[in-house]
Amino acid sequence: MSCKTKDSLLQGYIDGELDVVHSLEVESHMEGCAECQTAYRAALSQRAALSDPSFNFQPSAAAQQRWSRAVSQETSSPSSFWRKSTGYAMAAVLIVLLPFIWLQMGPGDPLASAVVDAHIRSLQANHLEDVISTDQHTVKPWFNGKLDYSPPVTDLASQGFPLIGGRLDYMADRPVAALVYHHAKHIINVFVWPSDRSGGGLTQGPTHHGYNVFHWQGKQMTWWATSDLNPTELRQFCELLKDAG
Amino acid sequence: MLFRVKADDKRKRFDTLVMPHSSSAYNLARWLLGNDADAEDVLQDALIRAFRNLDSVRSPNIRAWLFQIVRNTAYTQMRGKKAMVDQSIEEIGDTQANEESNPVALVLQAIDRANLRQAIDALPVEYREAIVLRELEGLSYREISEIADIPIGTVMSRLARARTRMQHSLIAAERDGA
Repeated sequence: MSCKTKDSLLQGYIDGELDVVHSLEVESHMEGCAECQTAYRAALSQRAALSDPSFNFQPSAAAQQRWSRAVSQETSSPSSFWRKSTGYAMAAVLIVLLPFIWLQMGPGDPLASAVVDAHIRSLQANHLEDVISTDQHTVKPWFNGKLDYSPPVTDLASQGFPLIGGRLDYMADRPVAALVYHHAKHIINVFVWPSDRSGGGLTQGPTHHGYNVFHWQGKQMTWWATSDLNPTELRQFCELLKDAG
Repeated sequence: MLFRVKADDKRKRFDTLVMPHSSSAYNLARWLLGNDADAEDVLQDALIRAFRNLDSVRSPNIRAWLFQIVRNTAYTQMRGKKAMVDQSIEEIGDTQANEESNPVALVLQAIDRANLRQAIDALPVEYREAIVLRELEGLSYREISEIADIPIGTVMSRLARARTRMQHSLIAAERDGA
């Protein structure tokens, strides 16, 4: 018959987990219980023997270094399972969407940034216009002989976007017509050259260096417009130009 | 860049808070698993898990938290390997209960260390765990109950059974040796 105290309170007494009242209770119980006395003394002698350092296993230096490296791998590369999975998922989505993005942006993002670069260059080099005229009938013939096509030129002065000139530029490996418009102290550069592709509605490209870019197809031409003008008004301008006779 | 800085910061916290407990955590794993290779592997897995979960630790007791991870990883490993040659408590029948109820009158004056080591190794893993956490790692009943996910009453009864069994083993070994 096992003593109930041995299984519970006595252990608490051995391990110093009892309050004073319970400790006294165990001590008075042990005076009359040989089983608990024996168990108590056995536990103390076990504890004394277990205090020997040989009972504590120490990891080898090599193992510790390996653990540290394993944790470093978690830190350094974004290589944990979830980050990897997220990366793969995003790559997969991108691969699926890429053709659509490509079609949306026409010849693609590099061209959009080339458009912005050309726009900035035209403002920096004091080379905004080769032909200064607010008259579309002056600007349009000016391109004759300079390009192998005749760009559509429309003045939008009555709608608040006066044409101020035209210039030759170089884009997509070819000389192109750059039309320069003006709106509320903002300069708008429009690049236009022939394109076989039809349809292509107005799409907004990514903003480069704070310049907004819009692109569309129409009149057998590909059109790019860029300006530091806000996107809303620039879009309005593009729609007017797109719909113009 | 921000990710980099945050990652470095997290690593620093891990090295300050968690790594200092890796040696004693290894001791636990080593006693539970019985060999260096398994204990090293389990500790590596446990440290990686701890690192991943470092941001979500709510307990201020990092040592007990790490021990819990190590303990759970070790149990998973043992179940996977089916390497539990020793009995689990569930398998201990009434045969042991009879033996344990007999008071052991003899208390050894000097305990042979090799015999003691064998006595611990012969314990069912749940009892061994309780003894290691209590006697070698000096954890409180509350900490042990949290790590092993058992009530404090169970901690006490496991310690009682472990101590009785160890005493039986030691006396038997002493008799056989003499």
